[in-house]
Amino acid sequence: MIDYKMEELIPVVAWLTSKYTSNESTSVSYNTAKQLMGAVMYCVEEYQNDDKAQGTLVEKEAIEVRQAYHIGYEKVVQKVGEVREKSNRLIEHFNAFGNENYYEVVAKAIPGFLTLYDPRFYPQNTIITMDYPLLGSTRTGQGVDIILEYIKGIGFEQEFLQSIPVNYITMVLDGLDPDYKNQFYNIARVVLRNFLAIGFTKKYTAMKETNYEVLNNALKTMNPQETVDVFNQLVCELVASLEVVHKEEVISYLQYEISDFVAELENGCVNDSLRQVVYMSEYGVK
Amino acid sequence: MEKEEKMDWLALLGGENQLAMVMDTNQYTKQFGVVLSNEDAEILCQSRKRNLREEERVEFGGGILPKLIFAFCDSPYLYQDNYVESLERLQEIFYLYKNESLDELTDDELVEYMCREFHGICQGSLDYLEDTVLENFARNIRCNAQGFMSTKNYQLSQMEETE
Repeated sequence: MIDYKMEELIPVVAWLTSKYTSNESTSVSYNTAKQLMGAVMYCVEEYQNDDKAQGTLVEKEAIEVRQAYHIGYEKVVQKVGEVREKSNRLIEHFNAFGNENYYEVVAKAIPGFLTLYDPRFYPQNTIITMDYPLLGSTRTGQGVDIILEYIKGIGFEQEFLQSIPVNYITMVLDGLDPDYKNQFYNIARVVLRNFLAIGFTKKYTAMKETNYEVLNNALKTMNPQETVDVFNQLVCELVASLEVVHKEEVISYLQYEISDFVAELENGCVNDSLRQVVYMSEYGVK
Repeated sequence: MEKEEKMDWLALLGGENQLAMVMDTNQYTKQFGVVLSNEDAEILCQSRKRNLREEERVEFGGGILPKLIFAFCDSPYLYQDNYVESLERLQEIFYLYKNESLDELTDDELVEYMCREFHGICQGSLDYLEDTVLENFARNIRCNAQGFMSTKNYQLSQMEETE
């Protein structure tokens, strides 16, 4: 990883500033200068991260920062194209299952990002707030990078949800929270938890019934790490049984949820509040 | 402090060139009876750095001073005794109103307007230029008013106010 010094970056920032002002202003405000410096550093990091991702074992010769910037900028533009393509594909078959927040993000916020995003002068700007939370929403990053990850996550989530009958999904959502259409939580989480809870109790108890008491008793037979391992395995089995194209990616995505789910189940057992953690419908997974 | 250090880096970029470019203007301005000594140019360059820091602006390349010099050197209100002081003031006013106009104006637009009003309604008063004319001008820009570039419209509005 090449560490560029300030003296190397500044001429590129100066060039970008003259482009920003169309050579019609000899000065800019501190905020603008900071923004443009951020733009240069974002593109240079894009170039460096791409080098890392390609797993080059041999240390390349240090290229000039201007060249690194231009290569990084091209990668940013490429990613914007990727976001656009995925967004167009997503919107064709998207189903928000009545949740307003989910719909707003995909139908309005992401297209809004594509309209307003400035890869040249403000590539580090994320613009939208991504109000719909994805599973494992601890991803860091900014600009087009995080938006690309976000839209990929929504894509995998939609693959999962759309392989399940719609009326089953709405039954589970409605069962946990009749006001789910106005809420700001993750839809797939509710459905996934339903499947996992039912699958877990059926697999690990001799009982044919699946209810909260049975779940509670089943959880007590394992420590949290064992429960995590079991649920991770159940996710694999669940996705294998569904008609999903990107099985590995969907599994990885859904497995983000497991740690939080297990922690909440443990808490639910202690406080007798499993009903708030998961909805166990009468009609379970076959 | 880190931010200030970064901005100092940027501000230092055109330092040396500035002095040479400002001294070069003497070739043109001497015909109007005004020239700058090395000390005068140094004072103006230091003043520029101070103004940029106060107005929180960063300047790349040549800077605005040569442009201001070329625009005002033939002014009947400027002569050798007040040349340096006037240029210092004009530079200060320029950076202030680049900010006040939210960078909506190009350098040329602002310099041209300053020059026109200074020789027009301000009758050589830098105070009137800064505190009244440009104040109203910048306010109009911020409000996105129509016709702010027209001096006639400005004079009309002044007449309406006094009536």
